[in-house]
Amino acid sequence: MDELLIIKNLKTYFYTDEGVVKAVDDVSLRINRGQTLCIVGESGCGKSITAMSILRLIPDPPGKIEGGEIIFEGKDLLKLSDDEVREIRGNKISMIFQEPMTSLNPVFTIGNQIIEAIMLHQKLDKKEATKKSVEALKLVGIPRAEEIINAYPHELSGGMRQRAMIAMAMVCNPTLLIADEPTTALDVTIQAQILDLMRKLKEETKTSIMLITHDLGVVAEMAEYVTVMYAGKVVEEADVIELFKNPKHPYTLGLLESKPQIHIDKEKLYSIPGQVPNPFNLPKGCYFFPRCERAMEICKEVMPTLKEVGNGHKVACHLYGGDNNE
Amino acid sequence: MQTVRSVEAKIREEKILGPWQLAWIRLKRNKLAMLGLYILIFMVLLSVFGPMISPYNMETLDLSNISAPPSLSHPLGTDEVGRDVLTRVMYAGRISLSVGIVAVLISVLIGSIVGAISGYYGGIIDAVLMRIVDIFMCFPFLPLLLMVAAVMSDYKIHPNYRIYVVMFIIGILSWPGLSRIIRGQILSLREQEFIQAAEALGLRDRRKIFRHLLPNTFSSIIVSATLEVAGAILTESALSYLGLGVTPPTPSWGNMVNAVTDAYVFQFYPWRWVPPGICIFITVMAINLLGDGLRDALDPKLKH
Ligand SMILES: Nc1ncnc2c1ncn2[C@@H]1O[C@H](COP(=O)(O)OP(=O)(O)OP(=O)(O)O)[C@@H](O)[C@H]1O
Ligand code: SF4
Ligand SMILES: [Mg+2]
Repeated sequence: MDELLIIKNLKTYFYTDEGVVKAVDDVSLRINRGQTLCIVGESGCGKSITAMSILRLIPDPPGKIEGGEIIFEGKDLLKLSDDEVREIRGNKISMIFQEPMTSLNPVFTIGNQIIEAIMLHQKLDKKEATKKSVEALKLVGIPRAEEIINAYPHELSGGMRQRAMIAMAMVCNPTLLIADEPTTALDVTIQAQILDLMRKLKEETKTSIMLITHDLGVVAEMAEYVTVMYAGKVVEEADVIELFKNPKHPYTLGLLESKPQIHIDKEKLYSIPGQVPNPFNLPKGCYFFPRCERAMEICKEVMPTLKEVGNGHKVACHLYGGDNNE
Repeated sequence: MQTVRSVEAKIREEKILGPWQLAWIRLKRNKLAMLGLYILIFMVLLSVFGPMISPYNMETLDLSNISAPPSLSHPLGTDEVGRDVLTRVMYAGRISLSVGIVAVLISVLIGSIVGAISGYYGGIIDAVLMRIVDIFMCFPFLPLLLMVAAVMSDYKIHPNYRIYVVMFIIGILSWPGLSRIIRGQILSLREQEFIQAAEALGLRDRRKIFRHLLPNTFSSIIVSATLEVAGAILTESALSYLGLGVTPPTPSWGNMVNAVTDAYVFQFYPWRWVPPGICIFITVMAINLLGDGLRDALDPKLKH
């Protein structure tokens, strides 16, 4: 397979006054060229921090990437100099954020900001860059792009702003687009439009997408491959069809149960009992142990490791192949 | 599709207005602020063009016509050596206004750079810069000026150059307040997503600070700077009144009021000290009105 990004044993920790938060703890994942990878998990499980680690955007202090490798197009991003990383940001790897309302600088026009992105990474003069930003806005379906280019962010709706953000992210033809919950802040119809747009762009440009979400509906619609995270660790990963057909980890099963389904008439929406574990006081064994309905004795003491269970499907759970010998 | 239509409709209805245009529209609705603006423009025009039109030179003595009361040829009378008071008041306006403006420019330049760097980097850099700010804030202002004034007199520095020294000193002593304001704003702005987005674009720190963060504080810079101009004019006049600032024969509003050296002048030659006093008063008041108006007009929380 043609691999674009390989993350190996990434560890990103935050050193706070209360203690160390292992926001990303030994995470490995892989994105192939042209593939869409979805990362799912509850709030606080380390999805955004994983994404930000790729571009080395972790605020330091308090955060620090403590170990691992992030191999992008054959180079370890963690070993590059700051200048080399800046060259990649917004150029080969670009990122869109959750809040379209606040991701654009309020005092500059949309055009100004897209032009800045273009001129930073491409040798174009202002006029060519302006032309290119109009094209980019048209590409993401913004009508009257020639005029919108002079609009300020507060004059556009959330959906339009997110389109503008996508235009800005796509304008340098990135090979990887990281989208951190790009539709969470939008209402449902706009959400569907934005996802459609991303799919369309992906087909046209062959850009790989790393899509972060906590919405399994979005996963089903967008993903080719899925990684499920819990408390800073990958607990399950599989092909999207395999995962929905054959979910294994009790946490994934819980997530699937808690997804609303129209055709099934249920009294109450299921939700996984208990809460996300306290990052300063993680259980010794499986992090999901306190909330797991199928927990066993061994789960309390021994941390399960990620193991292949066939079909490229990997799970970290003692129910599937014991770690007893460890 | 609904959003698309509403944006289109909006564009057709009104031309796209930038934040500055919106602020200007809001300012225009504020009567008091506009009064302040008009007074200020009038004072500026008077100071800049008045001396050119006046038939008198600010330094021409007319010893045959000392301390003459207002008359047709001297609308505000003459001073103790027969110079035309109106011409000197207008000329003093140039000095006082430019001292105010230049001092504030110095203060804005230093204050916003220090504040932005301090707020952006935080940590040790912030701690060091803010301690320097503390030191400046508790600087013994008056003794320092007395010293500088004494040194300037000893070295027989020409009064024309003393103005620059005064500008510089007022500027140097007033940046700490501004830098604290900017620092506070940058501190909260840098946590916003658009800065993260700018970083994800591959921008350098310098560009993030000066192109993305500082422009977001322009409205507070403008408001504080405007109000600071008023403060600087007052400081200048106080200093000049005490003989520590701009010294005669160069006139400034402050040192013209200084002409009142005894009760006799105070009582019998009011035209020598009342006009510059009024100028100080209405200029400072006009600037304060304008500054308050700008504060309301630029407040991003008040939409339309
Ligand atoms: N600046 C920080 N200082 C301390 N801890 C942090 C910081 N940023 C993140 N964390 C911790 O890292 C963990 C992972 O955060 P992250 O933002 O990756 O979660 P997430 O999965 O993206 O959640 P969400 O769905 O809410 O966006 C959280 O538990 C959080 O407490
Ligand atoms: S390892 Fe044990 S506690 Fe953890 S998910 Fe599997 S069964 Fe549940
Ligand atoms: Mg997140």
